[in-house]
Amino acid sequence: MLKYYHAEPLANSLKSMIPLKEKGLAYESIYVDLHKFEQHSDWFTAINPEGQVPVLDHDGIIITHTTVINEYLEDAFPDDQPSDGPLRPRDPEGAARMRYWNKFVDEHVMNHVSMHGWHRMIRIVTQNIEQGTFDELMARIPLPDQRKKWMTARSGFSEADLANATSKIEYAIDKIEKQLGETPWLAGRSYTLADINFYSHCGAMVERMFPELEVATRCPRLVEWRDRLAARPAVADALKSEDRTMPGLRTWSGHVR
Amino acid sequence: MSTILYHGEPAGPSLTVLAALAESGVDVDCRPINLLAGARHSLPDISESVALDMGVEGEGPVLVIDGEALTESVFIAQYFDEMGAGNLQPKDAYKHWEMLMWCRRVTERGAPAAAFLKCQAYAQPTLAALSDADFASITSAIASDDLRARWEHVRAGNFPSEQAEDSRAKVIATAEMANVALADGRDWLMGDFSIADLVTYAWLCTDLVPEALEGRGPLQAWMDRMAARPSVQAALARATVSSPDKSWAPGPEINRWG
Repeated sequence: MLKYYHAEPLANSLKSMIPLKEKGLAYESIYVDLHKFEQHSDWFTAINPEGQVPVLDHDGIIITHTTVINEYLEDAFPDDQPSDGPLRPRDPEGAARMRYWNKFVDEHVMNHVSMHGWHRMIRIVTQNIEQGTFDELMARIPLPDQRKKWMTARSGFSEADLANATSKIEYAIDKIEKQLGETPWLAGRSYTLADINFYSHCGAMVERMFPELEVATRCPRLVEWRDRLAARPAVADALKSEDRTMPGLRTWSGHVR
Repeated sequence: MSTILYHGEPAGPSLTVLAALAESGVDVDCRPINLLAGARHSLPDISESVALDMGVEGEGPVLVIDGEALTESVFIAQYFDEMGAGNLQPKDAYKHWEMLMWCRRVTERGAPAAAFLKCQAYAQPTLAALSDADFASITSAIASDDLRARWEHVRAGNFPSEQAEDSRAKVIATAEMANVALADGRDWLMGDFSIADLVTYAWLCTDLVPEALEGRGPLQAWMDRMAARPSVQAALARATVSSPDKSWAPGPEINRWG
């Protein structure tokens, strides 16, 4: 029995939902409402003491952190695979290549896109909360670094930090564009967890979030790759998952700035 | 198939990979390079350099398979294990997840901290002694802006005391995490010997933070077991200097927030 605790189909929550659907695994979807700070509530921290989504519950065993949730799914369900091949290459060289692309996304892409997302959305959400209530909410966040991030988001990230994040995103999309000139997918000839990772954290929304980067003209191969990915039935299905974001706050998905 | 492992002195990521190689029984062509002379950035016959260009882990070993460069010590260790004896990773899916989580904690939190302190102690004097022209000839070959900036910070001696304190705390936290895991009397971190032991040992092997070991009996005993392990001894036997743990070049930088 699989249960998947997740929020909106973007970033981390999308990243492990796509493999579940690509592998055709039946799971119970449990929506965690980040707008109500459910991830820091007692019922949720009893499941994941770090207070973060997503979480995979496999027969009562709790699996966290998306990159390794996805490796876990490959280990636990090696034979459930999309028709065009396994999500983790079976040859050790292909697996190594997939892993370093994952590490690149995890350490050099995800946090930079995330900073802009937080600046545009979490800042507005948190500024609408009175100081006393906000302090109470902060006291409930288990990870100190995460608490700091919430407090920074409320006061707003500095222009210098945001500009630095943008330049890292530019570096990443140019690198991906170059790679897609060599191979159809990030880690070579086949679609892997590395594609799912970059798509979820950057590829899916970079054009909408950063119109000034003119992604369509700057990175045509990335756009073609993104559309190819979005057309996969499993990805299309994941993207239709529950989204309770208030229309005025759809900055993260790029619908409003 | 041509497989070449370019590695630094057996310390940090190069120690992890050389010991994993010995454990795996895989036969590859090992070639020592001087990481602090920037040798990683001028390797011959690389046709696919994207992993080299990224440099997420900083200066570490590079595995070149038919012209394609693979980097990151944990992934190279996994590669050797998957090509060879296959006894460095748990077969059970959950235990494998635990090992991968462990390795991420060490490489994302402990490793940048240890690298900061080791660069301050060992790499900075060497780089500072270089002429501007010699230093520029190293950095001009580095593809990644991030990594080039790390080299420049090291040479300039840009080691804020706040970050040094934070780094010491993170090394101690890594030591404590290992000590807690070993407290039930197990020999190895995951129960059976694994890549988690190699990567943790490789980053904790330093006398710069002596308090990391103080009062942590299970950890000290494990460090002794690791030092006696034939694969670790085989890796250390490849050293070309008397104190390989003092050979250091700019390593991973913490890029995560929250």
